[in-house]
Amino acid sequence: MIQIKVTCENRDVFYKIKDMINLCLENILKDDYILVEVALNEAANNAFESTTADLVEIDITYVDNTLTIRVKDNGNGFDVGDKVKEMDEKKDDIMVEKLFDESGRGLFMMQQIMDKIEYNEKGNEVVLIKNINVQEGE
Amino acid sequence: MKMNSKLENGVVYLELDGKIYIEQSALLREEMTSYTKKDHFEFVIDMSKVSYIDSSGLGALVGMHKKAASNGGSVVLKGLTGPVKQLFELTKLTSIFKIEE
Repeated sequence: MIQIKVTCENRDVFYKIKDMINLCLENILKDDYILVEVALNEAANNAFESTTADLVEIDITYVDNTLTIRVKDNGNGFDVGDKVKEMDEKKDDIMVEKLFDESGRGLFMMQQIMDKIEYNEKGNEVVLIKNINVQEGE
Repeated sequence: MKMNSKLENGVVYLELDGKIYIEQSALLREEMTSYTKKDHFEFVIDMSKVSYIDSSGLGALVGMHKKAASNGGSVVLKGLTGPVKQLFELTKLTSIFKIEE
């Protein structure tokens, strides 16, 4: 089992430890780690952009071929239910709607990259799950 | 991320090397804006050495595309590869930029 837990007061602190996190992800995922890094950064950036949060916890666990990334901030969250519902209904078409938007892609990208994403009801915690295919002999 | 730019025959050529995080997205937008302020709206961006981009970088490029296109220009992306290319395809942004090998 691999586990990393970090608590960051702001994005600068997160950037200082990102290399360590990326090394861990690369070890687990080999060449596929970049997309998972994107998903993690989307979740982390959303948390850091919360105007009501001043602490972000990031928890990365790898056990039984499953990578679980939890990102939680201590803010008031957001109306995640509506956004997830919209994505479920519109699927890929949501990217067509947002084609000329300069933001708003993060949630969709996380959903597409990971096997599963789960938000808590408050919208201040997200769990990203990726099942890793282990090759024979590894 | 390293960023080189040059103006040649009215076209701005940008070469990016490295990872485009939030900070680099802002720098990229600043660099491109420094050219649009001087009425240069044709961009060719060599993305072949970009190994990472997320929604902040995609958003910056969309913003600059809108600026260029509304002034009769365009943003060409060259050499998209690997996970970066996958992200452009996944977000359907390959349909608004001119893409070259």
